[in-house]
Amino acid sequence: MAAATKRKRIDLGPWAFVAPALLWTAAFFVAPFIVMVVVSLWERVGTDLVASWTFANYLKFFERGHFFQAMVNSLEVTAIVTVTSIVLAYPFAWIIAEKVPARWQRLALVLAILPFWTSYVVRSYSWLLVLANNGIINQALLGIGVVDEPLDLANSRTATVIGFVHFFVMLLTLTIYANLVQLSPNYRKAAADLGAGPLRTFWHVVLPLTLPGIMVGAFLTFVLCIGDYITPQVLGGNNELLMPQVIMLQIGRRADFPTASALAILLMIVVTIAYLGFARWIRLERA
Amino acid sequence: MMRKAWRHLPSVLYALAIYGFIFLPVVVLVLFSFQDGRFPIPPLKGLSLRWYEAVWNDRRLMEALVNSIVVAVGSSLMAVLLGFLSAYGLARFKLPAKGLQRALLTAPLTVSYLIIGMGLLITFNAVGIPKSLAAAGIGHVVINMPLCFAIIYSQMGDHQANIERAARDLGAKEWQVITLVTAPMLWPALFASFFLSMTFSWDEFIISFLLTRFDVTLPVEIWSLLRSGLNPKTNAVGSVVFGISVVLVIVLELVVFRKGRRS
Amino acid sequence: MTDLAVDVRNVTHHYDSFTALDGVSLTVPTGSYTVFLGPSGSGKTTLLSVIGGFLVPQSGEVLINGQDMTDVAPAKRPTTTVFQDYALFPHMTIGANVGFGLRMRGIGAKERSDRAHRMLELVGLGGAEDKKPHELSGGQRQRVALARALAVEPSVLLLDEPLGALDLKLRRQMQAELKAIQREVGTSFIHVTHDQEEAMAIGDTVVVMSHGRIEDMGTPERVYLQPATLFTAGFMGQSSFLKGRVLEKKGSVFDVETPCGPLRLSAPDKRFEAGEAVVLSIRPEHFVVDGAGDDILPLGSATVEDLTFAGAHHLAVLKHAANDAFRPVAQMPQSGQAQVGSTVTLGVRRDDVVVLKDER
Repeated sequence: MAAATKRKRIDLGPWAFVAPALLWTAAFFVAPFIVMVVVSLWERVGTDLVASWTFANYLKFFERGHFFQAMVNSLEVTAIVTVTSIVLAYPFAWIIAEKVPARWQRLALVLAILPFWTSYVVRSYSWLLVLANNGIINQALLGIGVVDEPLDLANSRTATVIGFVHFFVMLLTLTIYANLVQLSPNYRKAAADLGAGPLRTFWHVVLPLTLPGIMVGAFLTFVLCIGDYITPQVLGGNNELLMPQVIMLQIGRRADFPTASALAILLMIVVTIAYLGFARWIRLERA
Repeated sequence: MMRKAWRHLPSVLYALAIYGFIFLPVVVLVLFSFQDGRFPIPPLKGLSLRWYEAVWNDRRLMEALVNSIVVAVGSSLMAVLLGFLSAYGLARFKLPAKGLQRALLTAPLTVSYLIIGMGLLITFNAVGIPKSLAAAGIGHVVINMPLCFAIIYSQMGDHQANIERAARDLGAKEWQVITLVTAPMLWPALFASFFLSMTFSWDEFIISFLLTRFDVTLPVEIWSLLRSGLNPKTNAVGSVVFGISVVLVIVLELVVFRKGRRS
Repeated sequence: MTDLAVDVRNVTHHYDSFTALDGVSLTVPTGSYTVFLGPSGSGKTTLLSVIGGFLVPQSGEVLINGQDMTDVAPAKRPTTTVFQDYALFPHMTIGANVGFGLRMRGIGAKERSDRAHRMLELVGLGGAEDKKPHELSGGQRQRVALARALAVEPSVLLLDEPLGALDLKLRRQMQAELKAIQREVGTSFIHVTHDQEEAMAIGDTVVVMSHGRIEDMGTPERVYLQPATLFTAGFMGQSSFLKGRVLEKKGSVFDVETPCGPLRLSAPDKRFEAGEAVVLSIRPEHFVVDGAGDDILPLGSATVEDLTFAGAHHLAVLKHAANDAFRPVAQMPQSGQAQVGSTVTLGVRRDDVVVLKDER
C-alpha cells in the first residue's frame, strides 16, 4: 500500500518543477500555433499582411488545382510507402526475432537500423547516387545488357517512394521486432499444443497479437512521411509536388505566410483525421 | 540436418535482400567518397582522400559542423533539464490537471517538424526575433523536450518513489534527494534522452533551415552543397556525418544498454 | 511517559470512501518487538505509515518518546523504515547505502565507514561494503536495508512486510535473526506482516487488525490461546466454530446449548448473559478423538470426510453426525487407523474451549 504522501509543503514547490517546461511549451509551441491559425485567416496584399479575417487562403486550396493535387499526391505516396514498408519489414523483423539465435539478435537489429542514423539529408542524396542515370543501378543494368538505355529512375515518384521505404523499413523493423519479442512464447506453444500448424498459429495468434503494434508503426510512418520535405525534394524532382514542397514554396519563394499557414493547418487536419481513424482501429482490435 | 538447412534458405535470402537494400545507399555513399575523380559514380577510378581534404579545408562546412555541435549539445542539455524537472514534478507531487499537463508537454511529438518550424518562423518574424542558431536551438528544444519528458517520466515508477522516500526517511532534504538519489538513479534514462536529443538535433534540417540565416547548421550547409549536383565532396561530408552518428549510437549502446542490462 | 516508544491516540484516516484506520489507539513499550498482523486492507501498513510520518492522519495523534510527532516529516522523526522492496539506492555501493543516513546528518567519511562496517557486521554482511545492490541476493538486500535503517540509531525501527519477498525457508531463518538483532540493539521494532506464523514467532506483542480496527493485542500465546474476537480466532491459526446460546450462569461456570448438546463451560474472563448468542472456538489440536475423561466434554460422533497428511500429524475434516453444518477440523495421529468414511467420537477438554461473542 503506497500510502499517498500528504506532507505539508510550500504550494509553489511542485510548480517550480513543472513550470519551466510548461512555459517553454506554451511560448514556443502553443503560441506559434495560435499565431499560425490567426495568420492563416489574414491576407497577403502585395508584400504586406493584412489582418482581414477571411477564409480565402483555405478556399485557394480547393480552387487552385495544384494545391489540391499536392494533397492527393501526398496521400497516395504516403499510403504506398506505409503499406510497402510494413509488407517488407514484417517478415524481416520476424526473421530476426525467430530465426536469428538470441545472442545475435541485438547485433542483427543494430545493423538493420544502422543507416537510420545517417544524416537525413545525406540519405536522400545517397539514393540519388544509386538511382541516377549514370548511377550504380543503371550502369549495372547496362553492363549486363538488361537494358540498352539508362532507365529514368531518379526524379520520379518511384524514387521518392524508394527513399521513404528505405527509411521506414528500418523504423518498422524496430517497432515490429519489439512487438514480436515481447510476445510470450507460451501463446505459440499453446496454439501448437492445441493442434495449430505454424501457418495457422501465425495467422490466428501471432499476427492478431502484433496488429496493434503494427498499427502504431503505421501511424508513425504516416505522420513522418506526409510531413517530410527533403525526400520528395531531393528524389522526386519537379514533376509532381507533395504538400510539404508546396508549403515551402509559399514560404521560400513568395513569403506568403497566410497561404503557407492555411496549407499547414489543412495538413494537420488530415493527420488528425488519420490519427482518429488509426486510434479507433487500434482500439477495436484490442477489444 | 539437410532438410532443416533448406527450410531456412528463404529466410536467409530474404534477410540478405533487405540488408542489401538497407545498406546499398550507405555503401555507395561511403565507397564513392574515396573516388579519385570528379564524379561519385562508377567506375571507381582509384581511392583517394582528396575529398575529405576538401571538406576539411571548407571553412563554411567546418563552421557549420561546429554550429551543429553547439546547437545539439545546448538544446539537448536544455531539453533534458526541462524534461527531467517536469517529469519529477508530475510523477512525485499532487498537481491539478496532470493529464492535461502531460498531454500538453508531449503534444509536439505529433506535429511535423515543418509545421513547428513554420510556426516559430512566423512568430519570431512578428515579434522581431532574428533568425539565428539560438532560434533553431529553441526549436530543437521544442521537439526534443517531449521525448526527454516521456523517457524520464516512464522511468519514475513506484519503486523509484519508494527509494526517494527511503532517502527522505534517512534525513535527506529535497535537493539532496534529487541530486544524490533521483538523478543518479535515473542516469541511464537521462543519458539516453540526452543522446537521443543530440542525434535528432544533429540531424534536424527543416527547423534549422527555416530559422537560421548566416550561421547555419551542418544539414543546412549540406543542403546547399546538394545544389551543385552529384559531388564526391558531398559523399565525404555525408560519410563523416554517418561516422559520427554511428559512434554516438555505439556509445549509447555500450554505455546505457549494457549498464541497464546489468542492474 | 518515556517508557512508551510509540503512543498512538485515536487515529482515523480515510482514503476517499475507504476507511483505512478507524479510531486506532495503541502503545508500544520501549525496547519491545511489536507485530502488526492482518489481511491486506486491514490498515496495518497505513498505521505504520502514520507512525513513520509518511502519512498525516485526518484525526488523532502520534507520540514518539512522549513527544507529539503527528505532523513531523519522516526525516525529523526518531524512526526509520525498512521498506518492503528494500528501496536500496541502486547506484550506490552497499557501504554508501548504509552510510547514507549518517552522511545526511553531516557525519564525516571516516566515522561513517566505521559505523557502516559495524552495522554490516551486525547483520552478517561484513566485507560487502564495495558491492552494489544488484550483486546481492534477496536475503542479503534485506539485511542491507536493515543495516541502513539501524545505522542512524533510531529509537523506533519500522519494518513494512520486510520478509514478504523471501522464500519460505529464508523467511523463517530471517525471523530468528531479526529477533536476535532486535535483542542486541535494544531498539523498539514495529513489524508489519500478514503471515500469522511469522507474527507468533517474532513478536513480543501481536496486534491483530481488521477493517481499520485493532481486533486483539497481546502476547502471541495469549492471542492464540485466548483470542478476544471471532476474527482473531479465525485469522490466528485454524479454528472450528460451534454456535450456541448461553442457558444459565453459575459463577464462572455456565451452560451453553449447542447443536451437539448442552455443554458446561468455564469462561474466566468473560461475562455472558443468559440467552446470549455465543460461538465456541476450538483449535484442531484441542479436539480429543476417540478419548474420554472427567474434564472432556463429549461432542458426539462424526465421520471423517477428508484426511490430509501434515507431517507431524494428520488433519481431518469431519462431518458431525447430528449437525451437518458443523464441520470441525481436528488433528489426528500421525499414524492411525482413521480413514475417510470412518466414524469417530469427538470430545474437547473444557479449558481449551474459547467462548466468544457471536458478532454476526
